[in-house]
Amino acid sequence: MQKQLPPKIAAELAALPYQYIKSKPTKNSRLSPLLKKQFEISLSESAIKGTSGGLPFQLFNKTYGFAITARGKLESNKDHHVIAIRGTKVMVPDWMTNLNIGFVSGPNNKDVHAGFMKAFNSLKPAFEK
Amino acid sequence: MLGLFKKYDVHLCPEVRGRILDNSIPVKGLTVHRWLGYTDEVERKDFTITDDNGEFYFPEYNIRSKLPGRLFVENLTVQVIYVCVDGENLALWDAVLEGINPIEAFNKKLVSLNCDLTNEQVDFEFNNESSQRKHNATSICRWSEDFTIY
Repeated sequence: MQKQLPPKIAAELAALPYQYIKSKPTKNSRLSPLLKKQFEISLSESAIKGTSGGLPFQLFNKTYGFAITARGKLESNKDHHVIAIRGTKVMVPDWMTNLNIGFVSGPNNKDVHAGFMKAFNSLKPAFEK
Repeated sequence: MLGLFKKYDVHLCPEVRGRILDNSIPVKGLTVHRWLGYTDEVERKDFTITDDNGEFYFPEYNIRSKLPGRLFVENLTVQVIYVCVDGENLALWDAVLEGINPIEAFNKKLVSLNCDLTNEQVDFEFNNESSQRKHNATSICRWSEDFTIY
């Protein structure tokens, strides 16, 4: 079983949330060939939205995607879910987690940056769907 | 600290040239739109109209911004050049330019946006000189080199 994301794939997944802007005039769900082969990513309704740090964020998040989720489709990464979350918002950069990516194993008693945790909790209901 | 207030030149899009055909016949008077979404979350839109030969042109687009001086800012521009045909937006170019400087591979592609409206829209890869990750884009245009449909 694949335990770690190869850097190349991690980089490509991390870049994805930045591309999904709701008001973009063309709707396509282009993935790189590498990602296409290994993951299923639902992009139909643009990216999942979350909030962090109060009103300014909530306004931005109406138009800009926040996170995307992907599910592994190969034997080696089957049943693995990846969550790629976009980094600091540019106007009011209030959380320090610029990029956070990895296999989700649920709460594991590890220290997590508070700002990130807050943002993550706002996203959680969408992931549970 | 002073870096926070400094403004930087940010390149959003190089010069664009192209030609639009429909079943090999030049399409004249068609509106071509350019839509640029940089990290500052301002959507910049302009348009041009094809001439008698179906040709069109957009100048290079640069802005000044303080954002590159901020920590943790991912500088990128979503570039879309499209035409609206029968209510559908067809991408002559749909790609993400990473960073704040021109990228030669993008410059080359964008000065030859040659398409036929009957072409299928495809996803393709093209070379990236500075990274192992290739660039990718979506388009109804076709190029004779450095163009791998996937």
